[in-house]
Amino acid sequence: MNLAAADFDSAKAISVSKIYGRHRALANVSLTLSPGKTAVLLGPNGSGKTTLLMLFSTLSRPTSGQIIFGDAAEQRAGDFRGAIGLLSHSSMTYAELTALENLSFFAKLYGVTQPQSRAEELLERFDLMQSMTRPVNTFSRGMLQRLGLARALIGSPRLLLLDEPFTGLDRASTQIVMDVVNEHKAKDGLTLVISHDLNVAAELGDEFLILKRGKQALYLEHSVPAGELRETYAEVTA
Amino acid sequence: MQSTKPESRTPIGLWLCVALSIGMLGRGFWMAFYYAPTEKVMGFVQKIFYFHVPAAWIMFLATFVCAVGSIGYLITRKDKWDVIGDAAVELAVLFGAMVLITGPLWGRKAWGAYWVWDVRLTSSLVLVLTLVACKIVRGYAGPSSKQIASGLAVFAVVNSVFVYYSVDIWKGTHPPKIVAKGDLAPQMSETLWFCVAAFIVLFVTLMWSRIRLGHRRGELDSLYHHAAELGVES
Amino acid sequence: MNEVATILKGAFAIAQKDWQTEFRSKEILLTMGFFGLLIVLISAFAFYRGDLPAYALAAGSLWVAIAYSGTLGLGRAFEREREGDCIRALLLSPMPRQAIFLGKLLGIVSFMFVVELVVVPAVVIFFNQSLEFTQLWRLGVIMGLGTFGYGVVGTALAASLLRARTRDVLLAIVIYPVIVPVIMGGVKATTAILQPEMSVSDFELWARILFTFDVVFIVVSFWIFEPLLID
Repeated sequence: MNLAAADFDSAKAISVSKIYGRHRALANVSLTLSPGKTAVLLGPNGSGKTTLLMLFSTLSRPTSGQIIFGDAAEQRAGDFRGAIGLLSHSSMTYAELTALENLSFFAKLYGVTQPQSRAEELLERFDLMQSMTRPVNTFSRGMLQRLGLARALIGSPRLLLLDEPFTGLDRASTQIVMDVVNEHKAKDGLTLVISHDLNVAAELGDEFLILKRGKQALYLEHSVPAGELRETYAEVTA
Repeated sequence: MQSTKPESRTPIGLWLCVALSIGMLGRGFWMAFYYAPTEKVMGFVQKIFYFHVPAAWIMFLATFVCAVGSIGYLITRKDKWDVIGDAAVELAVLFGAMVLITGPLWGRKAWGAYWVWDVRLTSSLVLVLTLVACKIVRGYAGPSSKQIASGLAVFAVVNSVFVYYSVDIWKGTHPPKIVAKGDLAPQMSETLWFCVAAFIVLFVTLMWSRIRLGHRRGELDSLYHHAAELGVES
Repeated sequence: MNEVATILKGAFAIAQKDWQTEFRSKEILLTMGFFGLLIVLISAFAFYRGDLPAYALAAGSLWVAIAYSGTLGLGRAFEREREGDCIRALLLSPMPRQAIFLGKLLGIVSFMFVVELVVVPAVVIFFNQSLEFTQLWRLGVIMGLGTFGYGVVGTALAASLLRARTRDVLLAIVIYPVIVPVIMGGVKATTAILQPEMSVSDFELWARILFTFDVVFIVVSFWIFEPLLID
């Protein structure tokens, strides 16, 4: 067994529900992610967006329904993890270690053959070379986000999951994130983004799923201009 | 909203078990105090033996059931296994408490002291403490408490074997163990086995009721979901 | 064989990451070490009586200090994974869960060894013990076996409590009943070593018990670790 992931060219959530005790976070939601298309999850707070993202990341399992990667008959979450990258609210990096140490460590976990050079490559890409030997707890929000994104990309993932990646970012950092998403799309990658910012969502998204209280409120399978998206969103979530 | 599902009404079988438990326990008490002769050496206090030994056996039975439920839950993540594990933990603690109360009472007479670090009592104590920790975890750990409690229960069961042998060796000299099955007058034997049977019926009755309670709680959670669905704020 | 190699490499990478972090801040070692020393001191005051043999007290206070400072270290080691949600990053990676278990285990056990390097001399000094080489290496064996057993149980339980509320208190509550055999074995074996006429047979007996405990619990923990962690 090695750490290289089984590749897949689609990721499907099939009628998934997630229940935590008395709280139903997600109820019978379905979504298919296709190569080269960016899906955007929208919805008010508590509508289950992060929950759905977590199900795709294999970090949690659905209470009912399935998450299926590609069309392999045997679906073992462990096989696909190497090809999944997640950026969540926290950067998921170790505060006392430097950016370089963090990325090298994660590169090892993903079975990258030359962890240090991969780390440096990503630090260069995300404009963190100057700070690479500084401990992460000295980083600004923008830098942390870029580092977190670098960590998400460390294993060259097929599926990229981003949970509100633009929150609190300055323009330069926002542009970097957008570029990454577009590059990933150009390489036929699968992308799922959660965003509160409807302008950015409209710019990025090729399809939209609006959730409300854990249920699917509306699904748009094409891109829409920002104004129309805002109106539709306001209507659906009223 | 009245539930008309058949399970919500107490099944006849359970009523029968309750009746049988009460009946058998009653007869067990009578046999212990009147039927079985008083033992020469220990006197009246020896009669605790008829409750202490069955309680210990049921404690182990409950612990075993708890282990099965916990392993089942860890493998399948289906709540029905956790309900079994949770019910069994409570009963194991209950019967364990019986063991830990009757044991020292007997020990005071037999050994002159309430607690002499007797092997069986000590390992029962550690087991009960671990299982109480399981219950505390269920109450206070939040969302993942079922997993944690199940894992801890598995540890508790494996650990009890080690504690038993460790305390045995730890004591050095072989302490007097509570008089075992041999050398018993026939009426005493009969009484003991009858009490064991009575305790088994009691265990089944309590497990059954407690499992039903566990399922009710699950149903309550589903009702909360339905309410949320209908837009009722909880 | 390949799978075992992957797990070992991953475990080592994780342990190395813990050592790197600790090397920066030294927080866990300092707090654990100091706390351990204080416990030895408190035990001396609490239990010392002129007529009790010092070697028995020494053994007892040594293992109490290890038990308490170990819980402190475990809590902190896993708290580091919680901060910044790093445990999720570990679980996201294709690294097998057992590697995470082994890696954290290596980390905590090595921290405890470092702390023991301080606490054992303290105990020896406070309780006026003298150690010859034959006693010293045996003591090393017992410390190794006992610390490892404690680490195995502690790592599994601390990991399971990672996302629980009130986890600090709960860790202490769940750990202590399960490590009773370790404490018993450790104290008995240490007493056998320190007493005026060292009892090699007692030492061997308890060393075997501790070894069995370690083997059994590492197998159980390996099996139980993944179900404990996933959501």
